[in-house]
Amino acid sequence: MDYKLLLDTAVMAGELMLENGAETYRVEDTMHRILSLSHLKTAEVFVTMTGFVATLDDPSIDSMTVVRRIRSRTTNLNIIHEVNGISRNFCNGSITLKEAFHQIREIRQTPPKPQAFLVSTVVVTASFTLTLGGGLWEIVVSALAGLLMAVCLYLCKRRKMHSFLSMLLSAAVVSVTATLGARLLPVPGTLDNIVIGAIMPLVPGVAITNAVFDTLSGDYLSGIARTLEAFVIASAIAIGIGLGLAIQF
Amino acid sequence: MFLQILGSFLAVVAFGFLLGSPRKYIPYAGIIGALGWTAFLLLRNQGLSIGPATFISGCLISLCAQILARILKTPVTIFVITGILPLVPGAGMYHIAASVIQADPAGTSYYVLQTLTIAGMIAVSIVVVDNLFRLLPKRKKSEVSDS
Repeated sequence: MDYKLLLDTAVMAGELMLENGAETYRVEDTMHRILSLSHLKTAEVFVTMTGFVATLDDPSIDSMTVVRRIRSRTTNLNIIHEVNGISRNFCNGSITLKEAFHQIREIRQTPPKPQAFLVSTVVVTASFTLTLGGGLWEIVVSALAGLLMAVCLYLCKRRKMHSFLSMLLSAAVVSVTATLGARLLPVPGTLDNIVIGAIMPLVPGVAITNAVFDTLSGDYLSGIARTLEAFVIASAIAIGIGLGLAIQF
Repeated sequence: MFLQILGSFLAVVAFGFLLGSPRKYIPYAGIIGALGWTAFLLLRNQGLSIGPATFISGCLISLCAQILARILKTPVTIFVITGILPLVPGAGMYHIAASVIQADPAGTSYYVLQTLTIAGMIAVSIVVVDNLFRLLPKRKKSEVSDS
């Protein structure tokens, strides 16, 4: 077996999963499963939220260790699902190492689509306002706020802005749009439903859920890190909304 | 109320697209989310306070998610992350910011506490159901070995 390729496959799988919002324990489990197919004496992985170390060692070979630092994290559940499926197929022997390597590399080279991001953000904000019991005009303003927020987020991402600042700015965009929108409405609407609906795409639901799953599986370091992530995102949103609302009061 | 449930279904479905959920699982996640929100609204109408209502509907959501994830052989997170969204305390964050701007410290501490309670209840409900499900396969194995 080509141990170098095996290690590369495991590292690439881990990198993809961690960058796209998989729980730490799942990444560790997947990488460990792939590496243990080598049947070498030592096949160890140590994963945290911000990076991982993987090593393969045996008396018969020179030891190999890879360290990867994960700098950016987004959420793409489809990539997690696909990498999971590939590693499952590889581990139960239905595809070879080379096939697994190429399939995983293919996932990495598929570019994301910004149009889908725009459209779905607008639908999310509009339908959350509906969920909270908002009227027609509130839904319209909320959709507009969602659109502007998505544009803001996209621009921040392209300029590689720090996530705290980009969340803060996007939340401010939402609350400014909502405040102005609620004033200009033909029918008096409540600001609450608009703002709450429109910030939902920013809210740290993923961080909360992953924090729970990581803590549960005994990975306290990542659990704490993700809890902190949730708090940081939440405070960025709160400050952003506050800035926007300050116009009104 | 029907409109609100429809709204939660649409919101969860759109969020599925936003998070790049696998297409074929998105409708299931939407149904789970709408179910959870229906439970939440019903419980609130019965006069239950926001903490227990979040807990019970959170349990319902993660129960459905765990069952579906096992049937469809995919990570549970795909259903839990999207399904739980209507419960996530976005409203709390807004009220915290608004009460800070209005210089209302009593309101701020009330909403901070409420937001933490909701987040905690969501976490606890996921924990409880997940732990119960981790017990299940073991029990089945021991039954097989007994027979």
